[in-house]
Amino acid sequence: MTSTTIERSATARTGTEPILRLANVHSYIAESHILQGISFDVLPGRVTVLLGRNGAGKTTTLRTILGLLPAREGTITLDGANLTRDSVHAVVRRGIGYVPEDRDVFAGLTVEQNLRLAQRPGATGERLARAYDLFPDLKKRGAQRAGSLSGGQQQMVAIARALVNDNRLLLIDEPSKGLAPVVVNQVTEALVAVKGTTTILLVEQNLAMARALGDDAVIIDDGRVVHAGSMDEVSGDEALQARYLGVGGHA
Amino acid sequence: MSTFVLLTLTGLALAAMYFLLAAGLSLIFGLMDVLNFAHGAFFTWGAYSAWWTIDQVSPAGTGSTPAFFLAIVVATVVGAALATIVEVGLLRPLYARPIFQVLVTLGAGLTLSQLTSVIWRPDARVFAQPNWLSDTSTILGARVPNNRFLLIAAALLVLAGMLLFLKKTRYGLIVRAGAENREMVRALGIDVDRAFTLVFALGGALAGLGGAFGAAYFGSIDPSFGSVNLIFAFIVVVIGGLGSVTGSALAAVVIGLAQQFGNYYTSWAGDFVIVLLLAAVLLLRPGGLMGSTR
Repeated sequence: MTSTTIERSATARTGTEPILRLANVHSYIAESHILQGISFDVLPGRVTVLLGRNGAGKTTTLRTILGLLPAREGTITLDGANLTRDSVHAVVRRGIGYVPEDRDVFAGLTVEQNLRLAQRPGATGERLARAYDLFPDLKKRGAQRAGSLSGGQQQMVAIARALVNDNRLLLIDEPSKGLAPVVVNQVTEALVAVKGTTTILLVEQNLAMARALGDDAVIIDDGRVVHAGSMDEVSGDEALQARYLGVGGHA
Repeated sequence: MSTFVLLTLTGLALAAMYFLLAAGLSLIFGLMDVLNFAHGAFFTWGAYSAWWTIDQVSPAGTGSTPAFFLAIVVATVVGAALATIVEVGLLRPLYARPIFQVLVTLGAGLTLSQLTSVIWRPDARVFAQPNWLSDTSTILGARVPNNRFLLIAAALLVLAGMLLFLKKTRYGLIVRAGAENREMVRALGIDVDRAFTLVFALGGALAGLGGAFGAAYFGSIDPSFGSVNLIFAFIVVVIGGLGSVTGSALAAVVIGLAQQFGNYYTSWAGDFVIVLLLAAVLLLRPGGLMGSTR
């Protein structure tokens, strides 16, 4: 099976054990078969970018990892522990931070309350302080209702919410979506600062941001992994980009 | 003047009772999207368990002060316990099926209410309360029964307590965040099901408490006690805005006063005015007085 050989490639290249491993994962939204046997690894300390066209199954992959959608087949392991059948809160408590596609900050709660709510047992004040340090803009607005913030500020709250715990893995879904270029740069800078302190699985359509952050790249198409390799490799391969990402003249 | 004062204070006491019933309903709907038709039964059981407690503790036909306060505690505990049983035993397996939930709460409500008439016979029971509670105090010429004041004070305490709970405690934050976006709360690693049980139990406790105070307010109870008041509580929730505790308090005052004044000046206008108010709110502010736009 090609996808199996692809899935092993990142691990084989570096010889390290993956933090996250998806093996032949199938999942459905209602009766639509979205993920049709996804397999790939996420290696510790690295940023793996999940690429693919709209509707390829990127967001569904993140939601399936979290258990928000059940995997009907296949296994998902974090640090070797099988979490395929666990409830969402049990999965997250193993050390996953999630930044959803639409930010999903709690509009009626203040910035501070959003962050405090995200703190799981054992979260330290020091981490909260560091999250604020990363986004000084938020520090001033701790008492402000999150619903009254700009899109960029809400994205910062959403990212900060994933940083207040000592997570093994961050799942970040399209942090650039709907943001002005200036704000995209700000968010990219912040994520560059986070990179290296934790492991990230990033869904991103914005190739500039993907290039700035990504170490490894996994491309999915129609719910299957069609390419796995280094981000540099994808950046340099215009034919690959044209075929699967809909960029370039041949799309 | 004295009539006005009497009607106002009695209306506020009625409002306090509606609020105790509506606050739980509103929180439950806000967080869980469950229309809890069993809520009236928690109220009925609160009233019956209070009456039963007084009957056990006090000699026949009288209600001593300690018995009354014990009855309030028992009613609150019974309300909370029944709500927990309904949530964990019946609702939890059905969170993916909203229609089934409505049917199951309706069925649980009918069954629990009927059970009171099986256990204690269907005829109305006089609710014995301590003399100081049924006695009147004179305010600006109006002779107002003391239980009205106790009911208003209890509702104000509950309102303050709930606002503190929602604003200052972690569970309060979970409830508010969950009302906005349950899935995201789960994705933060929070066990929302536990918050569901807590909110349901809290709502049941308030309904039980409301039932005990309602029994003191009306002076007698029967098995349909809860279902009659549940209708008004639902109207309060809709007018106040689903999920808003402050909105429920405000709407309860509007409904309680409208009902009292309407019923005093005509034999029919009390309930009619309420339906008109409901229609007006639904047309002009479909989200309710303090409701969000969801």
